[in-house]
Amino acid sequence: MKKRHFLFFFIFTAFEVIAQPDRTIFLNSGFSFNNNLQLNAAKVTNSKGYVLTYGGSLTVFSVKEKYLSIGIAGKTIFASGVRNAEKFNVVTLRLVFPLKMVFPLTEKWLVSPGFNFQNNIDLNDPDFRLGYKNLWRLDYSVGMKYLIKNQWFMTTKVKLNLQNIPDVFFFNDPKFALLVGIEKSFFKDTKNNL
Amino acid sequence: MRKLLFFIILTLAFSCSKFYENYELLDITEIETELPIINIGVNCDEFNEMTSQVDEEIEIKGQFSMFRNGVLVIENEKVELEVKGGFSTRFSLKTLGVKFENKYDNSDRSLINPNKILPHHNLDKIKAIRLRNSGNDFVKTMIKDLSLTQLAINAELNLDLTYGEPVLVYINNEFHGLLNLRTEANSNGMAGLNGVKKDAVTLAKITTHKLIKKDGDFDRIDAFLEAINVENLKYLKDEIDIDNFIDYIIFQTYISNTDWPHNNARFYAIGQEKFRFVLFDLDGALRLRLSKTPLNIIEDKRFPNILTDLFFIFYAEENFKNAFWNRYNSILESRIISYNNFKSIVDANIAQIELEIQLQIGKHQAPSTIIEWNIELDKMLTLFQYREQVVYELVE
Repeated sequence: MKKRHFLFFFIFTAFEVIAQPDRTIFLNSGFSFNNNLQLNAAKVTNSKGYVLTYGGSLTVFSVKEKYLSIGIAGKTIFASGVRNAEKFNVVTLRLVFPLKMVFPLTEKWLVSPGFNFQNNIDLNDPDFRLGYKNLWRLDYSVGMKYLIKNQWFMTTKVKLNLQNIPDVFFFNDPKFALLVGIEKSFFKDTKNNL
Repeated sequence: MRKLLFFIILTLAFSCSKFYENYELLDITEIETELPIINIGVNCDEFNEMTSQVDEEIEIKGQFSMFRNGVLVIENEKVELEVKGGFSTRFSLKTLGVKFENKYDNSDRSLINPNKILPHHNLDKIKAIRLRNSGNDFVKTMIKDLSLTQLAINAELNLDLTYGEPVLVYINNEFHGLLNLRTEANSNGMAGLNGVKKDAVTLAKITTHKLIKKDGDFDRIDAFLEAINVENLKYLKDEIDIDNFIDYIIFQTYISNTDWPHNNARFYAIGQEKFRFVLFDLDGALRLRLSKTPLNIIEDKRFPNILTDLFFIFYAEENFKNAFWNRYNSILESRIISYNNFKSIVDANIAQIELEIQLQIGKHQAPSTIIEWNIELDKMLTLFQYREQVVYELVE
């Protein structure tokens, strides 16, 4: 039954896309980190990462000036840490599907709580198949947007993961992240312009 | 905008994790290894042709020598080599089948020396071995198949399986790779385990696309397949070692081997004795469908196969059903297959190869780094722990 509702939701939102073709592209960067991480029974210290996310989103549903958007993004994480006195560096790519609600606070400030679905293992890993335990993870995010001018926004975001996922899956993509970035919106229907 | 898209596409193309820690390639002559070392003398051109044209099934001749603790225990035994395996032949380090010209006398355990041998098995005469790259686990832990098989051995289930240990392999005195020396799961292997000649073995293998009659009495195999086809339970009961069949199904479903039962399955008989199933190539376990029930694992709707059919013919009968679940429960209650037992085996195997895996990384970049190896080991253990919880909840 839930699957059917989910399907109806996406059909509905697909029609909304035609009616509301608002698009956004964005670029964020920032830092992420873990606490108390263990890998194969050894403690990992100083587990952190530099994060770069880049992608776009579509407005799929809007009521007055509030709207829901879904998107797709690449996320590159340059993670590092120390395990058994060995320093490591690792670069990882994740595919992210952000889903967020955007609420205007003032003419220039907006707040955007949401979720990020993303893969938990490498895309080229033979185990990257539906049915793999811990294939996906769901991060919570809260962001603020500030309109600079001409649909250019400055953004800040906080992301965290509260799932009970084994440490090994946070090793190269830490669970807490702080990001800043820029965003460009495109409107076909000018009446919705901020 | 176009540049941004190009950047995204470029990054997606390089979607794997990359580790930039540099580990030096240790000089093999300076390693104080506790692993056995095998050196195979071959004609270089023939060897290169064999390993580069894996679909041609080329066999070449060689001279097999082996060292244990620095002592030469096997010297220049004549062997035939052949690349073995399916998907895993794509890796830079191939699995090699090694067939001795004469059966090797392993009564002193010089060739293969496992910690434990099941009471009904014999490793005194070895016709052939396999130097295995751990199959699909090659770029991951290198020890999944080995460790899961050791778990089955330690559990003393009614199984026929392979025996193995990690070894360093040289070709013409040059380091070739870290491989797992393993007894064979074919007719030679089963003949050896049972202490009989290969002629006495009837064996068939189930692969993804077909059933292959390999050796022995093909009429008997045909009759067996026909009995499955017409669901002749009475005939099948007379033809199958039920206790072995139950233990075999339990172990494969416990570890959620999803490269099975449509593949990596073999059954064999010695003379007119009953058919038994062979446990081997477990690197497809602990990956997918870990939340599924044992029956879901056997069902395997992707690829119709005779093993699934066979099981459900038996399972329709109440006596078999009770025997199956009673055995499953008794194994779970005994905790002979458990995370703790598996972890202790894995830890021992890690300790055995943690120095030598650096050579593998240096030569084959598989896994890429020590950290990546540890990630894969951690995942394997984590998934075993999860599967254990699932099986206990589902079965009880």
